[in-house]
Amino acid sequence: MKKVYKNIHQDLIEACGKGNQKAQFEIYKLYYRSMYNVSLRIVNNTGEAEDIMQDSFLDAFGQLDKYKGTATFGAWLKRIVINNSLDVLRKNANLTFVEEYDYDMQEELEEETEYVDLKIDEIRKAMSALPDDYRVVLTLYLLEGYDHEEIGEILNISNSTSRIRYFRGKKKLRDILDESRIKNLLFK
Amino acid sequence: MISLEDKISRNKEMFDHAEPSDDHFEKFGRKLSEFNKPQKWKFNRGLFLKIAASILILISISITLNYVGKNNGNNLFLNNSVAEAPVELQEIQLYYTNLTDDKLQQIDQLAGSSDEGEKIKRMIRGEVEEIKLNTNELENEYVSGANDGRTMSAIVNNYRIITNLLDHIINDLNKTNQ
Repeated sequence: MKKVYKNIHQDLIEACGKGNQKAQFEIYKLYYRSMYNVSLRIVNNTGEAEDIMQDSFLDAFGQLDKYKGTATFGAWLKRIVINNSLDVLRKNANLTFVEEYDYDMQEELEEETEYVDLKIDEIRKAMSALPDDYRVVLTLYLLEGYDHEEIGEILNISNSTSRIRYFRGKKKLRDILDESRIKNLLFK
Repeated sequence: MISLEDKISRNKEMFDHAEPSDDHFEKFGRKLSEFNKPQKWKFNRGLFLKIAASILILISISITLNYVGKNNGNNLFLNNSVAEAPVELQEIQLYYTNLTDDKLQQIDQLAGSSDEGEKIKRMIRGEVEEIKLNTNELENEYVSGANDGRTMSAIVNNYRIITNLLDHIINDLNKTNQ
């Protein structure tokens, strides 16, 4: 039997379903920042991320009868934001997630750099410099908390392809960070 | 040693740093008002298709009736007047005309004034008019053809077809507005 979540803001959520505009605005205030950042990490464009985030709230309010409480409201809303963001990304960048089979296990073991001093801002910048397909998988895994099976389902790829993209994306991220560190040292 | 993965995972909340534009609350407020605006007719593709299907049946009936009417139309009563029609025909005519008008009024109210609503209203009125024209021809034929009982059945049948189909459309529109 699936667990049914009782949300902290259950009353507000129910009021949203009844078309209570005040409650809808309250829910927006509670979740807008995290949803905006979720979208921004995927589409990498502030204007588009804002539109997607706001439209996703309206999508959610319009289909609240489909929310069965098997995930938290935030998780359910986040999935709408992710799907809408991916739709835009696919449309804009003609992005396709192709299956990958060629994978060297050694890639998983290559992580020796020490990252204690690394600033979060540097990682954020490096992540936004990643190619779309790597950035999306890395974001979904590391920041949104999905496992490879779930990512496979979201992107319509196998979980092994998700895993391969993840490790390659991580390697690319390390390369970008290393390059930027070298540049910083040289031009200090 | 802290891996890149750990560094990101342990500082997740710091990645939610960005803020939307300064006027995002106003912008969302406007979108929300538009979203909650009471609409008599919210476009619903599935229901629109159902209604369109009913209209298509209406169209096919009017085409068939036209065809049959033209083939039997050698002695049509051309001045279109049924003033001198028998009382039973006048009663049927009055009853069904009022009924059809009521239903068309209901459809007008339910469909509202959106583009889709106007489109539906135009299509329905056009097709009802076509069937009415054909029915008028039958009525004239009835008057001039010595009150043939089969013609009378065809007239009543035409009216019933119209009212049944209009009922279908009203039901679909009611579902849309619920």
